[in-house]
This record gives sequence, C-alpha cells and structure tokens, in this order.
Amino acid sequence: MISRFQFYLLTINYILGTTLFVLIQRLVKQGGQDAWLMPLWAGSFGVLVGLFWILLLRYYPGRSLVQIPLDAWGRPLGTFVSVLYFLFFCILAGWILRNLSDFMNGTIMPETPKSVFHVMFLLVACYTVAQGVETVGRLNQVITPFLFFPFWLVLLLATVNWDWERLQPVFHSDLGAILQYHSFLGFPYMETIALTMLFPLVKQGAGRPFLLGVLTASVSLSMTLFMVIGLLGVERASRLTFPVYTVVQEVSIGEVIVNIHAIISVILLILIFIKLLVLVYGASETLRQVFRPKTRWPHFLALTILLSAMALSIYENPIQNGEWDEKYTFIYDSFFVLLIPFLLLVTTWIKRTFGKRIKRRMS
Amino acid sequence: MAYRYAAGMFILMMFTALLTACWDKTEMNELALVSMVGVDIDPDSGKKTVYYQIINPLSGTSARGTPGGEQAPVYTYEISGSSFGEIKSTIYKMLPRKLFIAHSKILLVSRRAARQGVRDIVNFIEMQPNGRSSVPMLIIDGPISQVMKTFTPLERVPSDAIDSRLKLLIRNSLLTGKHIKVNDVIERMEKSDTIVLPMIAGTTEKPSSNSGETAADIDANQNNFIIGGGAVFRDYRMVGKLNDAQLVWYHLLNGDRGRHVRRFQVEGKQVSVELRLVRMKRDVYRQSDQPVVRIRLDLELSTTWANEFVPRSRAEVERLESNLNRIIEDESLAFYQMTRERGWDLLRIRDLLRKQTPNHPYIDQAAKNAKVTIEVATRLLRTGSMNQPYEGTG
Repeated sequence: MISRFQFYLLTINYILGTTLFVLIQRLVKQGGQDAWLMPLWAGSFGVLVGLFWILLLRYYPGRSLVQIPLDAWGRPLGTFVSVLYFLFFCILAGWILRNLSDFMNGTIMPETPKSVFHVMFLLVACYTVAQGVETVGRLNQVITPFLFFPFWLVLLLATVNWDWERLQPVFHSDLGAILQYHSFLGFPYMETIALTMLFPLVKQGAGRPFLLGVLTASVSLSMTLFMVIGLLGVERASRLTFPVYTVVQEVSIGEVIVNIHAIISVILLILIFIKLLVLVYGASETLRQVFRPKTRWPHFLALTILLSAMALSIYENPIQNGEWDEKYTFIYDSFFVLLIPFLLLVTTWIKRTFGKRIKRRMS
Repeated sequence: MAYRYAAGMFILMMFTALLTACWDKTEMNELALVSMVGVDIDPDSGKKTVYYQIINPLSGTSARGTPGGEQAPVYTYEISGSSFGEIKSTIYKMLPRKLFIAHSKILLVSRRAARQGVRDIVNFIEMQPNGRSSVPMLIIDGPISQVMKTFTPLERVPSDAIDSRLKLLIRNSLLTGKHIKVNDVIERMEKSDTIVLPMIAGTTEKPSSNSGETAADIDANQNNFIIGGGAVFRDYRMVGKLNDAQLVWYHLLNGDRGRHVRRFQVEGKQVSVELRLVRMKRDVYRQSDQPVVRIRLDLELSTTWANEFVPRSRAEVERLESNLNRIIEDESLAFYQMTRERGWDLLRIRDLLRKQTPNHPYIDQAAKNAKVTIEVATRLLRTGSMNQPYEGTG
C-alpha cells in the first residue's frame, strides 16, 4: 500500500513525464504566446475524466481497472477487455521508451543504439516493479525533490534571457484553435488511466490525490510553457524539437555557468523512468490479476523483450509520431479511456437496477 | 549463498558492457574544439566556404620554450562544399580530430554572404544538436580569410578577443547592443523586424600568419581587426550599413544601456558628456485616426569625462540638461527620419503596434505612416574628481 501523498507525487510526475519535451513545441505552435493557457483547460478536462473513472471504481471497491471487466462482463469477455488494456499499457510504454531514445539520440548521445536505452531502462523498471508498489511509491517520493528543485533552479537561471515582450499581446491568440487541439487531452491526460491500476493500493482513497495531482501537473506545465515562451519567444519555441532543453542550453551566466543542459537531460530521463514504472506496473499487474501466474519473472522477461521491440517499431521518425499524435491520439485513447469505462458503467447500472428488481420479485 | 552472490556480481559486471559510454564517449584529446566559425557564400556559384578556428591545446604556458618555439593558439581550417551539411563530412579530409562546435563563441559571416541572405546559415546552426545559437554574429567588412587568419595581440585566441571587446563595447558604449546573437537574429527576422549586427574589418591587408610575430610586434594596430559600423538586416538579408554615429542613436532608441561618451556642441562650447539610459517607455495613442508612437527616454548624465566644461551652478546644470534634451531629441528624430526614408523599421514600430494595437487591420501601413515623437529627460547625476577644470592664468 502507498500513501496518498506518494500517489499524488506519482500522478504529477507521470503527467509531466514525456510531456515536457515531446509536447511543448506543438503546444506553442498551436497556442502562440497564450499557449500557457492550454494546460489549464486541458487539466480541467483531465479532472472531469478522473471523476468519471472514480465514479466507476467506486462501484467496485478494491478492484483495479482490469478486474472490473471480469466482474461486470464475465470471464471470457472480461479477459478479452483486460488483454486489450494490457496491450494499451504496452503501447504507451513502448511509445515513451522511443521518445526517450529519440531525445537521447537527438541531444547528447547521437551514436548510442536506441535498443540500449530501451533495454537498460526496462531492466531497471522491471526490477523496481517486481519489488512491489511500495518501492515504486517510495522511489518516486525520494527522487521528486531532486527533480523539482534542479528543474526550477535551471529555469530560473535561464531568466537572464527573459523578455516580457515575447508574451505580448496577451490573450490574443485564436482561442478556438487552442480549444480544438484535442490531442493534448489524449496525451498526457487520458493516458493517466494507467494510474487507476494503483487506485486500490492507496491508503485512505486515491481519488483526491489523483485529482490534485492532475491539477498540480497542469499548473506546472502552464508555468513551464510560460517560461519557455518568455525565454525563447513563440517563433523559436514553436520550431525547436526540445525547447526546454534549448532554454537551459543557452544559459550563460558570466564565464562560469555555461553548458548546464546535462541537468535537464537527467531530470527528463528520470521523469520518463517514473512514467515507465507506472506503465510496466500496469502491464505486469494486468497479467498477474487476469492470469494469476505462479512465478512472475518469465512475464517480466517477456515484457522486456516485447516492450523493447515495440519501442523500436512503434514509429520510424518523430515526424510520424507528431502526425499520429495530432490526428489519432484522442480517438485512439477515447476507446480505452471513455468508451470501455462508459460501457462498464452502463452495465453496472443495468445489473444493479435489474438485480434489485429481480431480488424484490423473488422476495 | 556465496554462489548466488557471485552470480549476482557476474550479472552486474556483464551490464557494464552495455554502458552507453562505449558509443558516445568523448575524450578531450580526440576533439577539435572550435572557438570561432566563419562563413562565406559565393554569390555566383553558391559554393559555401566554412572556416573553423580550432583551439590548439598545446599552446599556452606549458608549450613555451619547447624546441619548436611558441605554438599558434589557434589553427584555421578552411573547407568548401555545395552545402553546409556536406562540409560536416568533408572537413575530415583535413581535420584529424572530431569537430566539436558546442563551445564556439563567435560566428562571422562575410559581407557578400550577408547580402545574399543568412537564413541557410542560421537554420543550419539551429538544427545542430550540439550547436549553440546563443553566440554573437558579426559581419566581416572585407575579405573573410583575412579576419579568420589574423592573430590578435593581448588576447591570444581571436574569438576571446572579439567576445571580450563586444562585452566591453556593450558596457562602455552605445556602438554595440546586447541583441546581436544568432537567436536574436532568428527571433527578429521571424517577426519581420530589422536588426543591426556589428561589423568587423581587418586593419592590415596581409596579416602575419605567425602568432609569435604578432606577439612580438609593439604596434597593436598591425595584424589586428577592428569592430566598427553596423549591418542592417531585414528578412535575413543585409540591406544596408550604419556608421558609428548612427549606431549610438539606434542602440539608445532600442533600450541599450551602455555608458557612451559623446561630444556635444552646447551654446557654442564643446562638452563631452557620458550618457546612460535609465528608463525607456514606448507607447501608442491615436490622433485623428493615425497612430502616434511616443518614446520617452530618461538619461543619466555624467561629466566625468567633460574636461572642457563643467557647470558651476544649478542654473548652468539645468541649462545644460535642457540643451542636451533638445539636441538628443533632434538627432534621434533625424535618425528616425533617415531610417524611415530607407524603409528600415529600426525603431521596431511595427512590433510595437502589433503588441499594443493587435486588432489594427493594416499594421504594416500603420507602421509606415505612424507619427513618432521622442521626449528626452536628462539628469546630471555624476561628476568627475574635479568640480572645475584648470583654466590657467592666460
């Protein structure tokens, strides 16, 4: 069991995970100088979706997302849906692993083969997950201050290049275009469904820390975007592949504080690792809860092989990744995040209503 | 137990083979540390020539007195190709070490390349994962190879010499401003603004290629280069040039805060006064449907360098201040008129209108027709070590 505070931190780091370096450029491109507003409304959507999941999970106390279909729809169909969730978690994990290796290849390690990053991260992630959810929660709790303080410190150091004029004119971007950017709802907010696998394991209820975590992460994203725009300007931030990295790369204070971008690389790597931990936990727990194996290590080995292969083949280049993200993420995620939970909720309501009537008739 | 421990250790040791340093290891003595980059483009053939000035790690105090004598602090490699990307591969025909441009300090561009357009150059720099676009960009007034092959006295590495001079000029004059980096160029050009970059020229037609000779020559004006003038850029192309006098007004009206000493003619007397911008306010209001841009400059004056005349009384101070207000207003407005006639928006009026009147349907036209008023308020706040200069008995 993990504490509410640990789950709160886990939610924040999970959302920030890959978002900080995959999405910033696209958000600035879409929202211009007002892009910092986007996480605020997308975060509100994240909270609404979260409330929807909490409603479903309240009907099945102590059951995880993949156990609910088994209860609601019976063993054969429930297993099928749970396996679909397993694949969903695997695809997300493969995706972020590939984002990670793209980032490393594009910045400080251009020569290292992608599979090395994938396999090394997966080995450590599987080992951590095998130790149980407490290890994941504690690791994240211990490591968060080492992410939070250096991240904001390097961004504050970068303010030597700050220019308020880059944020003007304020509230003058096309609000319609900002609201239409639905892929931001899919990634990262709808992907937080993986965190519901941990809901039964949070002491004193996971709902409130989850919703607070979504809100905090949205505010953090908004502040990061605000700083990126003020430091780079819309013109550059909307074209650079990794704007947060470039912001820190350009820090130069005197002759002493220069080339400190390695700090931001390490922070981003750890954030991705935390997101990977949650997804690997989700995938392995799905296997455990649905198929109840006696030994788990073969599953972890298989997961390592499957996810490293998936990461290599999920897309060929970041251009494909961007196009998928913009066009299909929302629809694809909606199937797992909105449709299936909605059908489960409807089934539950019907079963409860008819169940009561049948009981009344019987009595 | 011991067996399991040994097996665990063995597995851990096997993991070291996967350590990523095997692919991306970077040994200092395998790198060619680039200190300065020079770029030239032939307007006829489109052939690109890049000059990499690479730091010689053996030059320095330890190498002095070696049998070979003092070594050159830098070596300049010149390489040509049809594209910048191609040069990245062909440089190794000559260069025995891995090119490392992350620490380069200065980017120099030839005047003919600047006239043709620098968009390709800045795109190439910005695309490089380890390239830095936060380096100053200067335009070479004259042959590029001459500047790239000039050793500098006092500061032995030329890029350090330029970097240091720029910092001193930014602080002690209004001849150069802070916004001269590659990223400033990108930002301004993408907003359809203009920018002025410093220019650099060699002082000798055939500079010595021997660093020892340069170091031994007392005449620092020989074998050197000088920063002077400004290249005006619009849409990534150099469209004109400003002289040093015009640069002062350009930087003042763009909010640069260097302490610049200038001689003014006040009531028939020459007086050298140090100016420093304390505050600048730019706003827009409408007057009979026409936008009026009001620029207000608050300047701090110092008579530390006024060896010709120092005011004696409060009345004289006020007279000096009001005279200088008028002179600076007139000269600033004359500068604005000159830029307007040439079609250069050097005061960034368009950008100001875009921010303050974003709903205006014809920003470009409004920027061209905008009326500009400049108000200057000077305050004498500093004096030198003497309250009056010596006047003699004659």
